[in-house]
Amino acid sequence: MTLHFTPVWFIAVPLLLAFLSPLWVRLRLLMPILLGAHVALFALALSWIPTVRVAPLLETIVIAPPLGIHLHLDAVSLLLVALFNLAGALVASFIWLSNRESHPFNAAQDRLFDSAQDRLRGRPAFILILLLIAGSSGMVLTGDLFNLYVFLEIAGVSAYALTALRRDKSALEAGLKYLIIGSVAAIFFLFAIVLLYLQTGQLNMAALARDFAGIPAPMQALIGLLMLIGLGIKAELFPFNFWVPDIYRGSDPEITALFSGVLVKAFLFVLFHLVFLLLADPTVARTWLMALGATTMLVAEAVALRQQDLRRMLAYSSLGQVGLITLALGFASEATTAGALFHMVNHTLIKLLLFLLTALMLRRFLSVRLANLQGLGRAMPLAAGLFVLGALAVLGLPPLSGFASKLWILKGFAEARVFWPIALILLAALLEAGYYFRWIKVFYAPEPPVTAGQPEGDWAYAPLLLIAGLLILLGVAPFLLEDWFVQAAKALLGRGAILESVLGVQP
Amino acid sequence: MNLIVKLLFLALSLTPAMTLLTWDGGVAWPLFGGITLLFDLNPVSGFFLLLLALGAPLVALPMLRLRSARVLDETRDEPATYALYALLLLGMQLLLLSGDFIGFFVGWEIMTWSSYLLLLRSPRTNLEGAQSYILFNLASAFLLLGGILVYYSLTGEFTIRAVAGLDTLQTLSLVTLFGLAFLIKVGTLPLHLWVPRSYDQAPDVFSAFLSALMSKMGIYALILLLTLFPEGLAGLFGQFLKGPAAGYVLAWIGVITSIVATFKAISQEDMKRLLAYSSIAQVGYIVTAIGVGSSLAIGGALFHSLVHTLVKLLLFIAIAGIVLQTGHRRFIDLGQLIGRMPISFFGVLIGIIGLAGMPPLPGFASKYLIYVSLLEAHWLLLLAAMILSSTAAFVYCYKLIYGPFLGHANSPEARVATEAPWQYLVPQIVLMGLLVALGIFPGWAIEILIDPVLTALGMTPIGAPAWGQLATAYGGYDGVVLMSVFATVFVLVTAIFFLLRGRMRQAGSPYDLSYAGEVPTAETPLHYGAGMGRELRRIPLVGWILNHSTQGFYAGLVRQIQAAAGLLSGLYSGNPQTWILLAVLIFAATLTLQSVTGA
Repeated sequence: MTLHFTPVWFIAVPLLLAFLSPLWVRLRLLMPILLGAHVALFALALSWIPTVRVAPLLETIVIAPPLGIHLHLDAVSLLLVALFNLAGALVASFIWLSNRESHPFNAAQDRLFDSAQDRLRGRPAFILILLLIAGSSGMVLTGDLFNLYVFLEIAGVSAYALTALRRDKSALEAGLKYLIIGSVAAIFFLFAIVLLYLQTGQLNMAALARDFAGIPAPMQALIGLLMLIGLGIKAELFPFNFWVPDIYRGSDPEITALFSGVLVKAFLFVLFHLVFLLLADPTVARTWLMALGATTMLVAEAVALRQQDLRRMLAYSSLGQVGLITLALGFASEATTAGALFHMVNHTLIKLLLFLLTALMLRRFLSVRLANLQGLGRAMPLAAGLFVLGALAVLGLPPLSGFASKLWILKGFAEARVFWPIALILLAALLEAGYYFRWIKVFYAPEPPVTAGQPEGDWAYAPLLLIAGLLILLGVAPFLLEDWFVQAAKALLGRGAILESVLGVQP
Repeated sequence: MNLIVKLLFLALSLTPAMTLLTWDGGVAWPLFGGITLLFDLNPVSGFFLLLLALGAPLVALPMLRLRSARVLDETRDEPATYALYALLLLGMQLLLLSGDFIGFFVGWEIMTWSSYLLLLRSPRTNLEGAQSYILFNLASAFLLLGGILVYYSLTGEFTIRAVAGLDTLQTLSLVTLFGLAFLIKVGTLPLHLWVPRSYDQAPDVFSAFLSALMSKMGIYALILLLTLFPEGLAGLFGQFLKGPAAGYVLAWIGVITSIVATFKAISQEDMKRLLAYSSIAQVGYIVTAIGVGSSLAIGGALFHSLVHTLVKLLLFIAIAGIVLQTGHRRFIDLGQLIGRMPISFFGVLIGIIGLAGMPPLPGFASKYLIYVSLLEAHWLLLLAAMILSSTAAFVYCYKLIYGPFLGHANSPEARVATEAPWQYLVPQIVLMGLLVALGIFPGWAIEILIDPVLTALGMTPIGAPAWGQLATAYGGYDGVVLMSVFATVFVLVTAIFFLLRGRMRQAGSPYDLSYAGEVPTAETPLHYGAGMGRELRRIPLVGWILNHSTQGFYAGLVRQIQAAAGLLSGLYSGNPQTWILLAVLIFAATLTLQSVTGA
């Protein structure tokens, strides 16, 4: 008997597991299962690459017309789903591996949950991560706006809960702030959906794309603005991203890694998916989106120069990269889009690496302020080396993968003979070098390090080394994934293909 | 274990030589999107690869003993240093071998960041030094990348080859971007801020590598830039006198760099800083020669690159040996080492003769070629300026031999120092031998090393009637004869010195009461070279130059950026109400704007 694989697995499996796992008693078996779910889904996504190349997979579960769950799996959503599950697997395995003091198969861990510090390692964290990944995958896969909103809320609520997981003052404060700003963003977005439904009577994205041109122009602008602000807050674009450093600083670095690596990418995708679908000619919004991206990038990189806390610095650096991706996607040529998708993958990997390293440093030094990390290179040579690797990759220096993706983006701009984004991107990279290398210099300062916490077991480095290996591999041989990125870019920009495939299926 | 690591490291340092000797056929590596990295060896890159192949093992040998036994430092992670050095060599080989700009850029960047990480290994490196090194070099790299992208948008490919059919604006933008990038790398004024800092603060032996080999990559790139344009620099703005007008500007940049750096070098108190400024000055000559752009000039530039590489390796390694043995770097803390470190003394002696460009060593031959090329172009003002700076260089050369070796030992360490370990001496002896051999056979260097490069660049080879002879249309000399004369004189003078030594010692005893007044004892701090160069500040123009630096400008730039960052970070407040207020305000403002403009 062959199992029938459908895109719904990417959402149903983690949701089901997440809701069932509170009932599970034997903790020892549960963790590997939760962790294994990400790995299995990642493998599943990889196995689907050849299928999706031929035609996108569609799946419609009708509840009560016009409400239904409509899923749309094409090259780009497959790429992101695979990425999200990989990120989930890496973070979950990191938490799981650093959980054990000496050996990963030592089961005496329950006593650890008592202290507030280690609440992260308990069952709720794994379940919430699963929910977060399920929500993000859903946002990427869904084909109608109502479900998009549902998944957006699933991802959002699990994110708020993850932020406040540590239950100390700063984490609770960050969680509450996140809840407030996230709800505001959701309201903006919900307004846009309501207006769209009132105007067209449709919630299916493809149908909306067909009918959007019929809406009066002022209403179009209003809807666009509402969406832009709602998604702009979530996707951390400039005038709406003031909340980011606080939340990133307040929550655990492991969790922040997921925010920067998964959530933002999902929202960026949703934003651009909607832009490319709804607007018959994406060049209408090109200037606006590119300007937004460029401002986000430059402002964030400049502000990062003065940060004294590693988590805040990484938060601003993350904003800068989001700006770069927005700039490249906003241009909407095939080369820049493919490069931007590649950069999304790279940035997710890099920020996972850097934030997880921050988690290790935090445990060892009990603080990640610049002044306290002097001489880290001697206490944690491997961590310092990996940090250097991540920094080089995020700056786009060869032979790491950040270089390949940045080069792709820049090449796209050069082909179109548009030079101002090139200048801005290079300027931003120089600013970025200004602060990353300051931290590296401090890590290798000749002063003896002052460590207070416990050294981590070596197993915690396993996922980090895997990421480092991927960064080098993708940097030296980017052609391995080239075809996938090109397909993904075509799928993201191919409005006509989506309309045809979806509306052909619909009655 | 330790020995195996060291042997492996030495073997790795021989890789450039292996590449040079065993390279056969090109290698292609597809990257993505039709970008293919092409690697192949051509005469131009072969010449610079030869420099690297010579220098890499000679620097690697003393790196095996970075710390003296006297300093009880905890063991540092030497394998990391070795790995970074190997990466650096890999990057430089990629740079030299690549036939396309992307490979070139990849090599350039690997070189930049691995050398930066090596720089951090020194306990002397401070934040300013490290930051200025990496930021200047990355600025250079990003300018280069910008230039590459402009080149790509004009030609549609990344291969390095001559481009034709560009208008002046396009050529100018290419030349500006590439030129700035490479001038930062070679460290011409006013883009040199990072050079003295990093050469000074780097691990002592690694400074030799920075000065001798990495600055040559900038020279290689500048020569490569010439090949991009079929008519060379003359195609841009036509001729000035008998040389290219665009090159005239470049030549002046080079000469001004060398004059200013020479005066700066004279006024330095620290041996490594002096050598750093002297490097800037020497590279300035090479830049001048590239500006002239004729076959003689490029030949001179190549020859001077070769000589400068050998000389700076020799000097930096010798100085590193002194620093290792005494722990002092400033002239006034040293002295009287001639008896204790005789081989290092000869190393420095040969080094400064080469550096000053005096016969019979090849420094003279290379400078002579550059002078002749300036004469040929009728750029006499430049020639005069260059001779000025070249003559002033004698002063710092003198300081370099006088300060550490002659006079009176001024620190307890200098009084008991012994000769540097063999890891430092072997490279010095090899380099001395090479310099003397090149002095005897300048024609060999021209014919075997330089002419193939000139032919590959499409220029007329200089040629030499015999291996011992250097010949140009404006005269030449015979190296064998010259060297024999000098050797004979040297032997005679030394013999007379030793014959009369007994009597001289009698006459010159420091305790001789005929000096009258206070008698300095061996313990009295005393250095005849102390404050040398201070009087230069009283010369009108030179004083002005010495009192001004670009440091203030760059520091101001950093302050401005920091202030702007501070202003912007005010936006990122911690208050959710502000966030929401801003979002709603922007929403309202945009909506109002739209309704007013009637979209």
